[in-house]
This record gives sequence, structure tokens and C-alpha cells, in this order.
Amino acid sequence: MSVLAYGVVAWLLLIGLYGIVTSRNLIHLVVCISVAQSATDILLLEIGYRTGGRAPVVLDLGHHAGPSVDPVVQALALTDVVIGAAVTALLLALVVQIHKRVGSLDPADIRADHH
Amino acid sequence: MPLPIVVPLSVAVPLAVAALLAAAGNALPSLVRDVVAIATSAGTAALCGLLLAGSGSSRPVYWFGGWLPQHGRAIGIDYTVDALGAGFALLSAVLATIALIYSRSYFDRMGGRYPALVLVFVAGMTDFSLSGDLFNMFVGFELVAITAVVLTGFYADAEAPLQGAINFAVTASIGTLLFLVGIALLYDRTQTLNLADMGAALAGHRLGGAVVVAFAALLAAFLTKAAIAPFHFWLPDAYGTAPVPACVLFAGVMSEMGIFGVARVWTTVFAGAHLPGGSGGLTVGLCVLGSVTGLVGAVMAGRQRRLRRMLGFVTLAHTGLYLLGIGLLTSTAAAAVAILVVGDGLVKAGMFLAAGVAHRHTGPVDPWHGAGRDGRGPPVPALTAGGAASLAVLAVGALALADLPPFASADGKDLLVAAAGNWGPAVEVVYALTVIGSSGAVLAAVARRFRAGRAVALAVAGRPDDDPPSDREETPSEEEGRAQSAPAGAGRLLAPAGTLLAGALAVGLLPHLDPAVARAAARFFDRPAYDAVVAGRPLPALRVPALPAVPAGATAVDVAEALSAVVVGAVLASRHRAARAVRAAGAAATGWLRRLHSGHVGDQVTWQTVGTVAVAALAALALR
Repeated sequence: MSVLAYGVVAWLLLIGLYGIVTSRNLIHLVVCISVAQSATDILLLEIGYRTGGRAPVVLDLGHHAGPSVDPVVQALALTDVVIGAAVTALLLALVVQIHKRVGSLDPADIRADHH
Repeated sequence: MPLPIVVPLSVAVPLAVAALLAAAGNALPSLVRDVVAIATSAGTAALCGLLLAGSGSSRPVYWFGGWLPQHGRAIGIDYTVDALGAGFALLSAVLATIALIYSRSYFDRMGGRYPALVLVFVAGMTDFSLSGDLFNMFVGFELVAITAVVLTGFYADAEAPLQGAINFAVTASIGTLLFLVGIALLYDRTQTLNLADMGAALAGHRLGGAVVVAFAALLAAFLTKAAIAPFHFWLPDAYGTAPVPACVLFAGVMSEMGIFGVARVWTTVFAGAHLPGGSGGLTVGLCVLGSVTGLVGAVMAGRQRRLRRMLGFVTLAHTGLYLLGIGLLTSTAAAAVAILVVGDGLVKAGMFLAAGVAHRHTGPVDPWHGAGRDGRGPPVPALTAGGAASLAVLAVGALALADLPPFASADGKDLLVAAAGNWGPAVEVVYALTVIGSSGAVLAAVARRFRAGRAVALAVAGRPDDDPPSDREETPSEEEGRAQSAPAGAGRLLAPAGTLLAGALAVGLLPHLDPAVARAAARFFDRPAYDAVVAGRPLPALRVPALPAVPAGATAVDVAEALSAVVVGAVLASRHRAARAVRAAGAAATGWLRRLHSGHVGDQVTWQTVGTVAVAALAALALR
């Protein structure tokens, strides 16, 4: 696994987190969460990659020499994509409700009654 | 019913019924829908009880789809049922049943998908507790997180629930990311997702850099869910604004889920690895985090004016103590934590239910300066019988949490201090400060509400033409609108709360509780036995470490702690000048802590990042 591969994952994760921390718009914040989630998907796919590997289609396995990439991580990545979609939809629904109620999308404006 | 069938049913039944209710929910009359949900939840509790009973001597392993291990390697997903996991699943199902029964009385009608969400929550908890596959645990973790976020924001018509839900959702999503990073890196090293196979692959070797990062990521994810400082900032917002039945589930099992995850992953995957410095460094790190969390919870609880937010901080404090216990990394300490989780969980759930009633009967906000007639805050209603009963339940619950002897919490704490060996006195001090502070805060709130409500009742008693009570809050929330408007029905709402407290008392009175739980914990911590069970080999003989003798004065210490909580409560509630001076000094000293809990999501994620880096440093120092 090359440094570039890890580097892309780390960059996406960090830039996503930075976006969440400094966000002034809740929709921007939700999209930054998606960016960070894509980093984990890429990490999973990289871990499954084998140099010179082919797609892990069962019917093809007998016909070529050489490795195929790991299908387990591809299944994990698909599951994560589905979970990410559900969570993003949930967050956006909450954001819509916040906008309806508060009229603003700035995280600093939604303040509950604290003591 | 043969045990192999029960294992998958315990997850399949709540999921299937949840799907049916979600699909047909609005077409069914609400009574039918609620009864079906309550029956399913109770049925799941019965199934988990069967699993608990059946896991005493053996540990049933169920391979989904019949994908048995080939050539000594696991290729399928399994559930390995052990006593602690089954017990945890049972606790979640019982609390869900009580929450659904309470919801039926508390809300005029539960919203369409509410029962289905609670059932999915139970299914996710059961999956997480029983699963022997790390990615399957992740799926259960996610099911619980998503349904919890939806339950938090369920009556999302006021601003407060939305903020709690958004903060919770964002921090939970980042926890998810970290969990997945940990899974990916562990898979890279061990080429398997099965917990037993991972443990076998790592056993006896030194941990490489990637595996240490994986451990740190998993730890950060679980600590976010458990709300350990500094990952905890989402918790008071979420607990303060979620509907009361949802808080029951959160306080009883969701925070503890993170602690369970740490214990499960440590004992099955990492415990066998060769750690050059021993596990002492990790113990110190986890115990420090747990202690800080406990003390933060206790201090902040004293500053809250809203009961649910205060109880959220009480939950935070106790979760910190559970991490302190698990951090000792011995099976006896884990047995103590298991007793505490059950005992405290039942009590905390009962207190939240009583807080819901108290909120309605004694006003939403603590009257710090009298009956609210001086213009500070909404007017306090007169004390009713229902209000007084709910305050009594809260007071008993607070004393139980402060280790009043017959309750299970006292039993668990004594065992924990004994299990800590040379560190026992330090653990005792931290534990005592935490529970005295948090329970004292609750007792003070009870006293203030009682005093103010009685004052109003006495003043109103002789005036027949009083004005009807005005709106109880400046911004009435939808939840109040849907709730029953008449204060009658407090009895029906308090019955589940009283049952839960009685349950905690019953658990504390069980004979031979300590040895039985110690056996279960010893099995939980036995990594070679777990490996053997999953591979289908015969179980090696179980070596249970001798139960440390609980020192003779332990009961006296427990009673002293409960009394100290009463004293602290008196100081916090008293109107005497000296007490006010003490309170003012305390407020000045801890103002910085209060300002940290700002509720801004960017701040919370910053703290989460700082915490993750700190955990990574801890892992790097302790595990290599």
C-alpha cells in the first residue's frame, strides 16, 4: 500500500473534519460528513486491492491466472455507502426542520435553553 | 424451544415486527399497534432470558446461513452467546418494554413510527451484544445510533430537540467513521472479521503501528457512544431534549453499549497480544478518562436547573465510573461493572420516568430563588399528590445511586473497590466524590421543587378565586401539547418507575449474585475459551479468580456515602447564608467548565478530534 493511498484517505478525513468544525451552514456540514465517510470507503477498497488483481467474479476465476481483489471489503464498502446514505438523509431531514423552526442554517444560531 | 432457534429469533422477531408496524402503522388502530409493540418487546425480553439461562454452562454459537468455519477459519457471521452479552440484551429489552408501556400513558398517542423505532433499537442492541463478528457489531451499533437520533428528535417541533438531535447525529457519525477505520485496519492485518480469529491472529505477537491506530480508532468510537470526556458534549443536549421514554433507553443501555464494546473488543481481539510494558499503561489511561468523566458529570449536575439535563449528567458520571471499572482490565472488576450496569440502569430508568411526571406536576425549571413570583422564570404550580410521589421516587433513586446498601449499586461498588486491590482506596475516593456530587444535585432539586410547590399550595389553599395556572413554559413544546393535560394519571405513570426501583432492590438482594456474575465475567475475559467455542473445540476448564473479600466496613462506607449525598443536597438547596456563599464560590470556580458545554456542534467535534488524538497517543504509548 503506497503512501499516496494512505495520504488520500488521511487528507479526505482531515478536510472533512475541518469542514465540520468550521462550518457556518448546516448543509455544508452534512456534506463534509459525507466527504469524511468517503475516506473510509476508499480505505476499505485500498485494503482489498491486490496488485494485478482482477474483479472477483466467480465465473471468471478459472479462466485467468493471478490474484483477484478481495471481495469482502467491497461488500463492507457497499454496506457503508448504504449506511452513509441513510444517515445523510436523516441529517438533512433534521436540517430542514431546523430551518423551518429557526429560519437560519448557521450552527451558532440554534441554541437551546442552557444553564 | 431449542436454543439454536432462539438465538437468531431474538434479533429477527423485533426487526420483523418493526417492519410490519412501520408499513401498516397508520392503518392499524393505535391501541392494536401499541399492544403489538409491547408484546413483541416483552417477547424479545423472554427470548433473551432464555439465552441467559441457557448460556450458563455452555456458550451456544450460531452460524448464520449455516456457513460453518472451513479449515479452521471462519467464513460466516456468528453469534456467540455468553452470559454477560445475553444479560445486556435482556436489560435493553426489559427497558424497552417499560418505555413503551410508559409512552402509551405519557403521550396521547405515540406517533406512527415510534414503536417500530424502539423495536429496531432493541434489535440493534441484541445484535451488538451477541455478535461475534466485528462488522456485524458495527451494523448493530449503527442501527442503535440511527434510531436513537430519530427518537431524540422525534417530537422535533421545538428548537431544543432539534439541537440535541443534530449534535448527537454529527458526533455519532464521526464515531461511525472511526469505527470503520478501525475495522478496515484490523482486517488489513488479520484478514478476517471474526473476533475469535482476529484474536488468534494477534495472540503472542507485538502489535504493529496500524493495529495500534485501529485500536485507538475503535476506542474513540466506543468512547463517543459511551460519552466519556472529552467525547461527551453531545450527551447533555440529547438527554435534555429527547422524550422521556427515549431517555430511559439511552440512560439504561445506550451509554453502556460503548463500555460493553470496549470490553468485548479488548477481551476477544487484543488481550492475547504481547504488550512489552504490560497492560498497566492502558489501565491508567482508561481509569483517568473514566475518573475525569465521573467528576465532570458530578460537578455539572449540580449546576443544572432542568431535571432531564441534570439526570443526563448523572448518567454521564456513572458511565465514567463504569469505564473506571472496565479499565482495570480484570474479570472481577468487570463483574462489578456488570452488577452496577444492571442496578444503576434500572434505577436511572426509573428516575427518568419519575422526572417526566415531576416535569409536568412541579414545573419544568428548578425554582432556585423561591416560588417564581419574583419574576424569575415561569410560575411554579402547587404541589399535587402526583408531584410529591414523583419527587419521592426521584429521591429514593438518588439515594440508591449513592450506594444505599440494599440496592444493587452498593453491592457492585463494594465488589469494584475490592477488585481494585491496591488501587482500592483511590477508586473509592473517586467513586464517592462522583456519586455524592451527582446524587446530591438530584436531592437538592427534589428539595427545591418540594419546598416551592408546597409554599404555593399553602398560599393557594385559602384563596378560592385564584387564576388558573398559566402556560408552564415560555415556549411550550409539542411534547407537552401531545401529553395529557390533566395531572391525574400520575399513578399510572409512576407505577413503571416504582417497579424499576423495586427491581434494582431485588437484584441487590439476590443471594449468590457476586459469584454467579464473577463466573460469567471470567468466561467473558477468557480469550482462549472464546476461540475454542467459536472453532467448535471443547471448552477448556474455566479458572475463576477468587472473589476478593469485601472488607468489613464496606456497608458502613456505603451508608456514609448516601448520607453525604443528603448533606450535599441540603447545602445545594438551603437558603441559609452560609450555604449560599458556598454555592456562589462553587459556581465561580466551575464557571469555565459550564462555558465549555456551549452546545455548538463545531466545538463538540473539535473536542472529539482532540480526544481521538489523545486516545491515539495513549494507545501508542501503552500498547507498543
